[in-house]
Amino acid sequence: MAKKVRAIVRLNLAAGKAAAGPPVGPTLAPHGINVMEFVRAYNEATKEMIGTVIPVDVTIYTDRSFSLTFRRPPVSELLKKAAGVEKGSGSPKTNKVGKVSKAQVREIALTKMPDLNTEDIEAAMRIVEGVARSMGIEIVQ
Amino acid sequence: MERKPDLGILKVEVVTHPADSELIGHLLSSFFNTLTTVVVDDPDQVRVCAFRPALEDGADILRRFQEKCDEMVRLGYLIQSPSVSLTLLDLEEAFWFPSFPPLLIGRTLAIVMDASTPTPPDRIRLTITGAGGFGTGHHPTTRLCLVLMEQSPIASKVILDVGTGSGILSIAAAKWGAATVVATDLDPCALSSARYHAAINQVGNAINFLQSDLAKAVSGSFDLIVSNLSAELVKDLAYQIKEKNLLTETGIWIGSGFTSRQWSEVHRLLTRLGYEVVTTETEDDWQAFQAVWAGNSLKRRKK
Ligand SMILES: C[S@@+](CC[C@H](N)C(=O)[O-])C[C@H]1O[C@@H](n2cnc3c(N)ncnc32)[C@H](O)[C@@H]1O
Repeated sequence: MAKKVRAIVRLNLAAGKAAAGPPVGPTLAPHGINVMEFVRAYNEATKEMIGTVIPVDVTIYTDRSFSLTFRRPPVSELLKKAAGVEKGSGSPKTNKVGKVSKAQVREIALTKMPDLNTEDIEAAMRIVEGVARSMGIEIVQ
Repeated sequence: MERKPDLGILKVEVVTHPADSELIGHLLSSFFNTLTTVVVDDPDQVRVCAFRPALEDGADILRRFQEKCDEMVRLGYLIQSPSVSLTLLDLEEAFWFPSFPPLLIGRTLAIVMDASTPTPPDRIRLTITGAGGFGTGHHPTTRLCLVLMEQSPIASKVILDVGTGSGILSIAAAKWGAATVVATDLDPCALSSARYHAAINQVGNAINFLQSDLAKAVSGSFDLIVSNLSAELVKDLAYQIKEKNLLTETGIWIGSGFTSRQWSEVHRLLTRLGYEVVTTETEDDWQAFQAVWAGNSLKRRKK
């Protein structure tokens, strides 16, 4: 018999470096799961990817057990990589830090689509464009 | 920016449409300078949350965040304008799993995450809430640094902590009797978390916090340098220490923050630049080292 799901939580965490404090503790502890066990499992699974953000979906069951599904890095990270920049702009309107092509936007939208809660590639691209805009990354043809 | 030590943790919660969660998460995380979590309530609603130390600028950031969201709705990037709420958690709520045991590290330290957890009387008590900065003692690299520091002379010494995160290594050094500690971080949020932790551990006066890319803004020379940084940053720091003469002739550098697989590369560079590695430690494939200037290893005084 399939176990009953109590909650699903996505945590955006620095690979290999999760700790028991916020956001992990106050997000997971109310569901009764063992926070340190989660921290250990996450850090072990992501330690070779240190320096990146690796989101993880924690599915928590009613018996307090949980399972982990690792996700692709956030759109902002994928954009930084595509544009070859280290960080977004503090004033995205006036200070552009990099450029990506429409094709790169589509590619990021495709890669990240399973995590974006949409089945429409246009909508997914719109999300990517929104993030790019707020980081000062320009979209060129 | 000065802050009261008892401000607790601010939880920012944004209720929104699932398809908006990625962009909302990005905005929340860049405005509040911290990573976010997403709780799925049902197919039509999620809650995107961020936690950070309750700085006094919270209300101002929140206003700018909301303006930005409204703009993104107008431009058609967001489906709906999100509703935002702020909750101030005191430390106990933020770390409300009260059975959380104190973490005993080395021979002398006990780390707790909240004020109510008792610690053994023969140990030095450090309260590190973990909010806003890396380093609660639950990560092997932090523990490795602390264990190596405990074996090194610290009392009355001048210490530099590069990439202080939560401030944990600096606070431990101050508790072990360091004369002065300089702590740097690139991330302003980490620095305010470190200031906060220094204040609640009553060592705020012993530590000078400095925003700096590695040790670029640091001057002076130090008896002990500690750094828990990725392999790339450790390599950059190795050059800076040498060029800026930051380590005294008999000084010690303790570093961790990378995996054992990356060690040979780091080790090679250290040797090439004239350092001599005197001790290494590992835990769970994480690596730590203790280095001195080559030729000085015998002169090194033991605690
Ligand atoms: C792994 S944490 C170490 C925290 C703490 N010292 C410990 O041992 O637990 C690394 C810290 O270095 C900071 N950092 C990263 N790059 C930096 C840079 N270029 N200059 C200064 N600090 C940096 C990060 O913000 C983070 O707080």
